[in-house]
Amino acid sequence: MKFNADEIASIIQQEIQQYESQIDVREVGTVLEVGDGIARVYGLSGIMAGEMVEFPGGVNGLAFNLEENSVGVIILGDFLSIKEGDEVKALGKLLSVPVGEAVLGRVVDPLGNPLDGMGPIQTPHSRPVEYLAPGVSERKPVTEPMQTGIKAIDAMTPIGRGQRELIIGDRKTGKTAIALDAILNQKETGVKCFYVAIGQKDSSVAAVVEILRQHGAMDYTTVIVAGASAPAPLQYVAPYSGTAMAEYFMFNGEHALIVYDDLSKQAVAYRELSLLMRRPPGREAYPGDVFYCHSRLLERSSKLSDALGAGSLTSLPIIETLEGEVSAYIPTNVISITDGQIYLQPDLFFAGQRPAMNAGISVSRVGGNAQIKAMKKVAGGLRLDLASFRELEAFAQLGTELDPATQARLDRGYRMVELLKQGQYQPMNVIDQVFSIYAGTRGHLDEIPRVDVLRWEREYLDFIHAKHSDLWDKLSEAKDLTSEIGDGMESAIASFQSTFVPTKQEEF
Amino acid sequence: MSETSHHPRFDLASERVGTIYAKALYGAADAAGSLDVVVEELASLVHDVLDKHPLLANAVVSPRITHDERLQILDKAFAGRMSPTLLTFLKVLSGHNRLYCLREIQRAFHLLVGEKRGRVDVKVTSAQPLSEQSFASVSARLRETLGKDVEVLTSVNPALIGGLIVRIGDTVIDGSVAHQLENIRHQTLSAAAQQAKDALERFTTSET
Repeated sequence: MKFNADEIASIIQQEIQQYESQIDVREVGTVLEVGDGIARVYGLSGIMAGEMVEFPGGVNGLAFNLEENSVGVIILGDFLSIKEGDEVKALGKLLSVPVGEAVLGRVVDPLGNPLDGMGPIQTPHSRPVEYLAPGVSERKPVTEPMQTGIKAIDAMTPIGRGQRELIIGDRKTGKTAIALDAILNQKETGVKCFYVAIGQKDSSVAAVVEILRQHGAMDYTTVIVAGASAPAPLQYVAPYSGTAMAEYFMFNGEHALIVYDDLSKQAVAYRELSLLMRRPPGREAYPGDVFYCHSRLLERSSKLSDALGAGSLTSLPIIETLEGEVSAYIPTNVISITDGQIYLQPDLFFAGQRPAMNAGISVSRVGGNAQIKAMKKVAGGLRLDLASFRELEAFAQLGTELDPATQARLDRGYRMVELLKQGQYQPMNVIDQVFSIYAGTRGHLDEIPRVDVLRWEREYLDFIHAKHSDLWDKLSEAKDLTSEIGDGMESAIASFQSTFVPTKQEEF
Repeated sequence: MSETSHHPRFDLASERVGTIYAKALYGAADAAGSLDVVVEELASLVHDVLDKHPLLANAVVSPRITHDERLQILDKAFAGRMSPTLLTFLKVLSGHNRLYCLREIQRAFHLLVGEKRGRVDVKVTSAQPLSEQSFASVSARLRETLGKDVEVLTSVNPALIGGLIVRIGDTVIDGSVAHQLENIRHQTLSAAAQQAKDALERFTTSET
């Protein structure tokens, strides 16, 4: 491809001919001091809170603190090029990011600039980063399921489209893995996914992008990155700009899923900004409005009414706890904002139960409304059963003689725990999930050795797909466990059981 | 040794103190009926005395000199030559250890008096010194548009190439040639980039 010099010269000539001399009227101020991603500016007397300003060299900022005779500005970009005495120009508009189909498959920074070296993002649309959440009359109850493809979650803490489900746990307990599985499972569902990485190592973000790409999930996913080396202002705005990109789809009647990984880092960035701006510190030195910071963000996830196109935005915020401390400030705040939480525990994780979800204290406040009928029927009492099994298990460890009924409940519990284990990046179809959980809750696994449960499940599902695909199709169509399908399952299990060979247990 | 050498630093705290004392001085001078004299004397004190005699300025500010000693200096230097309102005001400042804010007070006082009298300061920057005629026409035009009495302060910056930059408070009206050239540069650059991109796209779409 060669550029024709004449062509370009003619364009420039046209531009000059069309140029109308306009007198530029602007509101200005002067930089008094600058550092740590913030600047204090004298002047700008007519500026509004949240308005964009421009520093020399094209770096943008946001008016954050309006004081008696100065303005605190957070700098979105390179603050090292700004000097004392620089002229700051008010732009009279709000921060906005490019949105639309063009952002899908891209890795961008919180201002919408591409980071993946695939050229500029060409889209005519943009949305303000800060946007008021839909009101009461613009919403509708959450009823459609948003399948994560993880048995434990879809069965026990189902997530609906438009819900906000918190993923909380210590470091290295598989929080990101759950969110990624949920994204991978949105293939062919038309749900657009957004992964907002805040304050993470750039190497982990690169790994996430690589996983998404390998599994073909980048086609419908946007990754918004404000890495650990990004200045605090960018880390602070990253979730809002990700939400703005996702909202575009929601307001166009489509469905979107957004993962904030993780909000505790965003809170830390916000604390840093607030302290630098000399806002009074509160509990754990967080500013008083850190709750509002998260509530206005998560409130933007919603299920819109039919009049507005019935689009939805589901969010999976992630919070990292320290030593399982859920009663710290940020975890309690976000728990109270969200519609339920998935609580991951390190001891379960190291005991080999992955996902390491604690069924007893994980909840989904939307509940069974967000499940297909068949799943609701097979997994109805599963969560409570598992929670009571955990108690019983602790009791049984005392070594007392158990009556046969208790022993039977223990056996069932062990097998359900085993059945709910699932490998990473292997999301399961919800119909498959119904087949396998049905077998577990109806006691068909009670006689199978514990080590064989996952193999049994795998072979059983292969068997169903090979020999009983009509039954599978029927269930997938009806989405309900009719007595006919139930009978079909019973007979399928019976015929499979006769062919299953348990592993020989070696005696030690 | 220039430990307290004056350095034109912008300090938000002194600025705030300046506004408060300026209000008080305005009230006192207005009540004494000597507002015009005080305005003139304060400006002259800052610009003609302190700016030209930094040693005196340092002496007035220095914490090594006690309040009583300062009173003596002030009396010796200014008694009889200055309106009693201003002299009393300086003594009050000395008592409150606020003499170091005198410049900020003068600035705020100037603005306050201007505001009360319906007068604004306008800074006009041009590429070459304004001729008397154009100065008069610019002033007249500004007076007409703003509907206020204007005090025009001119400065020269050859980097503008031509045209004028007018600054009223925080608002800048930029009609300089340099700025317009910069605008043209941006527009042509983005237009050329857009055209090149479109041409490239035409090329790739015809390929597929």
